[in-house]
Amino acid sequence: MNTGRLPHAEPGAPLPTVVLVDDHALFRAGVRSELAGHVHVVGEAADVAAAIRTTLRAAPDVVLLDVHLPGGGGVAVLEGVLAKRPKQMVLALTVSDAPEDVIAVVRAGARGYVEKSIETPELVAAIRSVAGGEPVFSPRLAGFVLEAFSGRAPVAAVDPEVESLTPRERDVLRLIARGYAYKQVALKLEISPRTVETHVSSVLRKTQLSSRHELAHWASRRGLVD
Amino acid sequence: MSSLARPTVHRLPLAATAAGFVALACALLAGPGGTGIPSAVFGAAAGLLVVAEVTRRARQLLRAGLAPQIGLAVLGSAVVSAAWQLVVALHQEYYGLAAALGLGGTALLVRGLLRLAAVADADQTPWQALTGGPTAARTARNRFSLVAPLLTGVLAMILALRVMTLALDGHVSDQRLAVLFTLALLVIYIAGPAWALLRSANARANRPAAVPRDEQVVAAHLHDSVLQTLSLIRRNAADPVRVAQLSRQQERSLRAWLAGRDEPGADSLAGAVRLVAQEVEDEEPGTVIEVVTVGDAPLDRPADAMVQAAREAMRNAARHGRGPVRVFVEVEPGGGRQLFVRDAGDGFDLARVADERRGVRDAIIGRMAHVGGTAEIDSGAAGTEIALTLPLTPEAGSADEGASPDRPSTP
Repeated sequence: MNTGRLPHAEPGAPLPTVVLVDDHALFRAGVRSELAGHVHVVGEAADVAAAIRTTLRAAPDVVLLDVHLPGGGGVAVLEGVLAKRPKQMVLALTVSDAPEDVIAVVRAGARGYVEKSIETPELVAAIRSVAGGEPVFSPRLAGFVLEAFSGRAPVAAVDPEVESLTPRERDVLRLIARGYAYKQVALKLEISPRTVETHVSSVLRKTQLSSRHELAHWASRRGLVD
Repeated sequence: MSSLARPTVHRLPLAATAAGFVALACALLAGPGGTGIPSAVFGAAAGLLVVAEVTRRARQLLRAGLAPQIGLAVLGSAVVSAAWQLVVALHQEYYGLAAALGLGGTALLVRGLLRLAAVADADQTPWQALTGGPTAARTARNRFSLVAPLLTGVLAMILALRVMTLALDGHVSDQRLAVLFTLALLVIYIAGPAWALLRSANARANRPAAVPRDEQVVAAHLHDSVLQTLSLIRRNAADPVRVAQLSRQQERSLRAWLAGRDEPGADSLAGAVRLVAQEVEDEEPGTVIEVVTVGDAPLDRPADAMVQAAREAMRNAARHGRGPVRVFVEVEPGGGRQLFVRDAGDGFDLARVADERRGVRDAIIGRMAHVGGTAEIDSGAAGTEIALTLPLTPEAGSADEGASPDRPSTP
């Protein structure tokens, strides 16, 4: 996605290892065959408990995580896995286009979010980016984050006092929302691709940080924390 | 707590319990050979307590309509044994004491268990309710009010047994009465908690009854929409374009239904853009148009012109582009509106594509200029992007009125 079309791995480079988490066996089989030759699928899971167990055991480069799962959803998987392996890279792969779902998995620690309608080369590129520690923002996620930080979002509102986006970060997000790949964003803004990644990482961090603050705020309002 | 609605029902058990404990203190101070007065007071208090509890329970049962047979049977036996204990209490102070303690304790225990069951109905296990589990959000006071009746009830019942053994030791004169009484007490001990547990199990068994109604709604919707579409797809299996079109239409309508909205409405800028994207998808089979919006604005005249221009841009992208068409709409907090239509095609040279030139010039650039906006076309190796901008000029376009919103897209 951010690195354009990369149908095949560079020769000699080890394939990234992936755990597939989705409650639809048909979908897992589809993704598995699509990704054959591009990644090494080391585990599959259909519910929250199995996803946490499999991920911790297989320790893959990337977890491909469905947002909607029986037993607590993708957020529960992220919480369970990141508590034990804080460095685990997780890419949310979902059909959901509800902002609260998407923002929730990003807040819970997913390094990226792509729609299930994504084409195979772009999915492979996204997996490689996330495996390398780069966040992956789809146009839709960029739109949601812009909306969340504008203070207009009804459900997924991010507290604007904590961290607001810099004008440059907004520019980057707008271009991603318009469908530009990271390299094209860099060209358009006349900055280096590395700088684009830095901006996107910063946006991701702000989205995740403000969630913690808001959670504390929410908790204290309800008298759970003094 | 709805104490305003039925204050007496709530105060009676309290008063009775208080009187009962005063009487208990008197009886204990007076010793085994004390007078009959404390017992009489105590017996009366116990009776009062039972009557209050019975009234409360009966009202609850009448309202809830839950297992009335079991409830009435237990209530009946409680009333009978209470009356009998009252009579006994007037003559045999130990039996009275034990009866009062036993009945009072049972009542408290049942009440505590029922409260726990009510909490369990609110999707918590009784243990979570007591310990303040993750979803409990309970205060210490709430927890105390749950535990107190249980502890007091159990304590009272233990005391009742102790007093009972004292009675059997000291007054062997009436063995049969003592045995009968012990049996009655045991029955109450077992029946009370059993009834409470049964009720809670009943309530839990009844709870999922609410879900099937939702499931019926979902099933009805799936039947009307998804199943129909699937059968259409099967019939058109030989026509990949038609299949893609059908599945895309169904996906859109299912998404809209899941998000709780109807098909996109044309009363706002974002809604109108979504609607137009769907229409273009249907016009140009096989095209996928992904729309991302940030903010929204009412569909005034300039915005409507922008949507019509966007329609033309989407058609162009669908015909000449490659991969999904991306549409991004942003309404800035200040009111400025921007709309981008982008495709990943090889781009088209405006000068070379004669057919499209007129459409682009008139339907996109001209239309935007007419309402005070701009249209820019950026076509290159990375694809083509048409950027439509409406600056914040509220007067723009308001001069020409009466034009219908669904006028022909090319003049």
